[in-house]
Amino acid sequence: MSNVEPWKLSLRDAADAIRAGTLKSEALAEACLDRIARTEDLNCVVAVDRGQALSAARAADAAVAAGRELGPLHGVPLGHKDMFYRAGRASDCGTTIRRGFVPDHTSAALERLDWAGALDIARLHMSEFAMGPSGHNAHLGRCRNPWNPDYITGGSSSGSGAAVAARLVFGALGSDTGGSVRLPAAMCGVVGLKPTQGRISRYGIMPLSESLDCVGPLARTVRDVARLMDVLAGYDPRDTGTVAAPVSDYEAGLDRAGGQRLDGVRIGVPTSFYFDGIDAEVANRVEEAMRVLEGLGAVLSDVPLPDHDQIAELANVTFTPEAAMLHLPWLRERPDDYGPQVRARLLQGLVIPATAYLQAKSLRGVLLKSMLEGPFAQCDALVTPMLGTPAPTGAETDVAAGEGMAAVVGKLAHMTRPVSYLGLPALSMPAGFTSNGLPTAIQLIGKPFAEATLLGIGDAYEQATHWTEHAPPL
Amino acid sequence: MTDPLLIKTVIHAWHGVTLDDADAAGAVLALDRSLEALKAAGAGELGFDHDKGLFQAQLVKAGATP
Repeated sequence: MSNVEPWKLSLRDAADAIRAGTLKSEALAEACLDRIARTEDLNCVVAVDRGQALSAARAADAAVAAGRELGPLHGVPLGHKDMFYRAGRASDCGTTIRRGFVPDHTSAALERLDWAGALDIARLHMSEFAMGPSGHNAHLGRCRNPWNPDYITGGSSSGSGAAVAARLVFGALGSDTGGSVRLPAAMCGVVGLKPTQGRISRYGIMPLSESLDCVGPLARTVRDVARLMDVLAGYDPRDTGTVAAPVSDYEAGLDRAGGQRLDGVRIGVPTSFYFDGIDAEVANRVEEAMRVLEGLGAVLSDVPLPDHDQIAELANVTFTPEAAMLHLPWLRERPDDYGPQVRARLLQGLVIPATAYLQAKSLRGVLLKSMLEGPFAQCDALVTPMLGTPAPTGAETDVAAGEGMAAVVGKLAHMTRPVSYLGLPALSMPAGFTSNGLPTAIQLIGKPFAEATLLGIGDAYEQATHWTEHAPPL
Repeated sequence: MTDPLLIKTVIHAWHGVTLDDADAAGAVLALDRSLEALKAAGAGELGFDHDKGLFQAQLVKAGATP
């Protein structure tokens, strides 16, 4: 390992090197902490405790030296969206209202990562209350894209996308209610997985929408994401939304497959919604990705979809009342402590009739059934663009841009919101760059609990294209 | 179109939350768009005996068949 700067390693290689005794966790943590200190201008880290991080790293090294049993993430520095509670540590949730909130319990996701031996070295930037697809935040300022700070990171897991891309941490947790893992993964050029609804426990995270909230990992490679999923996935009686479905051994599955061919894998290309009106440059990148998948042996075919324009709207009918219910006391008592756009979105939830909300919830099953009996009866996964346009700038998505801003921001989650409503898993995979120098991505959408299938397709695609080996020049 | 003034009055009476004119107009636009989508998606035809647990049932079924 002496010839490789440790922060350049993948999560998996770093963890394996620590386990093998060829790399010290302390050296890795120091490298990450130094990079965090040098990249403050990105505004992707909310808080870091250098002393605590190095102390934990030294303890990890001591465990290796003592020959203790080690978890699959032993000694690897991670950072997480600032809404994953840890008992006794503040979680500000990107807000003024929750600033200084200290939970008395630890989230299930962090518990699992702790068990696996990971270091938790930083709390990361996020959109206010995880509402907002751009990475703007009225209280924290905008998170900067490591590829070019003039551009947005995507949100709401803005810091998770930026910190992983900038090689400040080896992986990060995000949350995805309408695209919040996938969008920053796409705009920052890393891999992001929104798992099936119910695959990962949400116990101990800041709630936003009981029906749609998902926890998901972001990391540099598909195999890194697979290792994180091996740790995170599973039933939790503390989150009644989790499903007691068997959990695949995701990383071993990729190792067995070898990541080389996709012979016989059926991939559907939607004939509506996802490709309607997308930018020509983005369309070219997606077309190139589809040719790569075909070259690997996958069979691509056009598939019609149920009306996704409606589905995207039904996601809002489900989400906004649930969020408004949670926020009602603060909407009443502290309305001025919200950013204007977040407050306006929450207020929309107050006017949705209960009957409409329940209709949207009921239609969720009907429409999922139509997806399973329609497109997913013909194929193993769908491929779509992740973004309809090249990643926009901070200025284009700022309130100062007026009505133009609403149009740009309104389109950001176009590709992601229907998937959230349908509860399906989706993987955002880097697919090259647009002429502005920013990453773009494809989205692979799977059947419920078919995360292993998506990771298998993503792994083969990654090994054929090497897009995930590109890092921003920091 | 739903009347924004009505919405302001009702939300203040129900929840004690004050909407300014712009908030009310935005909320009404969103409401009308939502109701239109529900109608188009067949919400009015769900019927008395529809399976309201269908979403979760399908997840459980999918999860049980790896």
